[in-house]
Amino acid sequence: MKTASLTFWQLGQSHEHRRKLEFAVLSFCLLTLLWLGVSIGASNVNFRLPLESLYSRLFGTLEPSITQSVVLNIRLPRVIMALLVGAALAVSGASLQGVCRNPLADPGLLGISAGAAVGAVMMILFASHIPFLHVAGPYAVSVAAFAGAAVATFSVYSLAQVNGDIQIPTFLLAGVAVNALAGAMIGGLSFIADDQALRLITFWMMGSLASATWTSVAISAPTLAIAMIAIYRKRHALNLILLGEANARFTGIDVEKVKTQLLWLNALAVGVAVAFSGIIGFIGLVVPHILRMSSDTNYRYLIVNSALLGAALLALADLGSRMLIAPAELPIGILTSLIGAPFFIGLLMQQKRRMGFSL
Amino acid sequence: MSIQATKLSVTINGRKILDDLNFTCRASEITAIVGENGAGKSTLLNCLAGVSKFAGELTLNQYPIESLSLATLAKYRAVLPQSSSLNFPFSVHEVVRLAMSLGCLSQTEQEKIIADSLALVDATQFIDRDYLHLSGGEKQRVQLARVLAQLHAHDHHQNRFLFLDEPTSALDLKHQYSTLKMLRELCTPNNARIDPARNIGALVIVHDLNLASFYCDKILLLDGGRLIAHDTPEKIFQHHIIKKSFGIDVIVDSHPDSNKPYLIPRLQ
Repeated sequence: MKTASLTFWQLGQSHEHRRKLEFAVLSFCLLTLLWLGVSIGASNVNFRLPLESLYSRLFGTLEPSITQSVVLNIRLPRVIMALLVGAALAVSGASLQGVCRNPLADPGLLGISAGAAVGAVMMILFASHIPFLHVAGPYAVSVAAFAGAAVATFSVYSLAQVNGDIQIPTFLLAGVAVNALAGAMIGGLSFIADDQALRLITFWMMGSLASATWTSVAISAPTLAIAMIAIYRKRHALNLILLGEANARFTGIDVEKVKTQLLWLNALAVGVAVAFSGIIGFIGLVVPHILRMSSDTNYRYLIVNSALLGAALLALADLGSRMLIAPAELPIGILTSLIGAPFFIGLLMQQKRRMGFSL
Repeated sequence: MSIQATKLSVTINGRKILDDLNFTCRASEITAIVGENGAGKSTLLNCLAGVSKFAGELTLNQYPIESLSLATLAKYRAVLPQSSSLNFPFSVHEVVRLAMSLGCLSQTEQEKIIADSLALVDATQFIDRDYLHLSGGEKQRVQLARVLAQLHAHDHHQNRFLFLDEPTSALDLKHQYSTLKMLRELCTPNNARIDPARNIGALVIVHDLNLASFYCDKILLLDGGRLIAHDTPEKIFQHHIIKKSFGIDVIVDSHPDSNKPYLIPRLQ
């Protein structure tokens, strides 16, 4: 009897069991935050609201109240956008860490988000001067952000590559350089911008989900979903690249091809996320790291769990940004940086201790 | 006739790393690649592995190596590089399983291969440990288990090859011998335990000439990028050949258990 119970106990402690538990807990958190995000607002807090609004929308028996239409047309798209952007940034961070074989990679630190912001800001400022382009509206901004993100991604990547290997110090410095350049460009652009454009630029630099609408959800959801699924399909290659590029090649992975594909997918995910929410830092860094501490590094689980945890964390941060100084709003990028930056410093110190390399 | 090199040369930055090599290695043989540091051993292994550019001809199972894709090569040969770094926490079980992630084996088949491969390198007891917490020699054995798993996971209708770059460099004495003994058994023709139909061949870079002598069928001796000799240990481990290639005086004797030659360097 004793042996049997022992075996059962060990079974309960197995990796497989813990992974299922983790998945369940993350999904539960996600749904809870979706509920909270819709129920809590600047004007009122009502936990029955989501159901009531849904009921009136589906069956149309009641004339929807103003609060209900606020829920359906403002809060719901905003929460969905938070989930999408959080998931995309976290998946992007997780995959970049694999491509660079370094746990310090993050789309914000590497200047990819800043590159996307430059693209988006330029489109906002100059779209009205280019005929027909204003018709494309939000699509044009997304495309420009994607282009900016792609330029930044490939510049940092090629700068950091020495003899086919990513050098960690060069890599972080390249990120600093691209970030600084993008910052200067946005500074220059805001100098020539009018008041309205200036407000938009400020929005990009600090990140906000306040302008999310069903249109922006309709544009970003399919794009981000495709990017994330495509990254997930590269999970085996990402695992093997962690073993070293030579080993990955010996196991049958065309490393250069896979890395280029992943960098394009990252540029797409980050570009679209930034186009609709501005620069939101540290999600891509913090989320995979928390997951690695609690369970394991295997990309089979890491990508999905990163998407779930990233979505949940950004929804939580959005809730915080709406509630902390209500009725005003704290820009969400400031909130994530306030929490993420100390975390990053801790991570740097831990790496320095463990690997013994100096940065 | 499973690996054939004809006029194989490699030139990097105007320097000849490998110079006009001609040799043939059969499956079911273990060939030790020996030579001084910088003799071109690792370069030769990289050419065979299909990741290095070369002039001349090199065929694997009769296919020119450059015509095979990385995915196809992965089915015919498995490679252990000199060092493998991993900065992320993986369990030993997962490190070995990664070798099979591109195949289409069932969970049960994979588990069996993982268990078999770890048993071959005497690492069964590490299966649930974190790879990063292992010692250098333990890591090397786990990496070898991963390479063996890759070989077992693929196409059994072809002769397959192991290319190992110093698989024993971090191992203690016991495991140096047990690893070579295991390779010897793996490459013995019609080894029912592994694969009844086809044979496995191995090319192994080793610095311990005695290990090479006791367990390898052929020795491939390189010096300055040129092939000095490719023959049995008895033919190659002679005083004048070692003196010429390694620049040291040795006493050559034969081992009482197997009559294989062994070398003791002279102290001057």
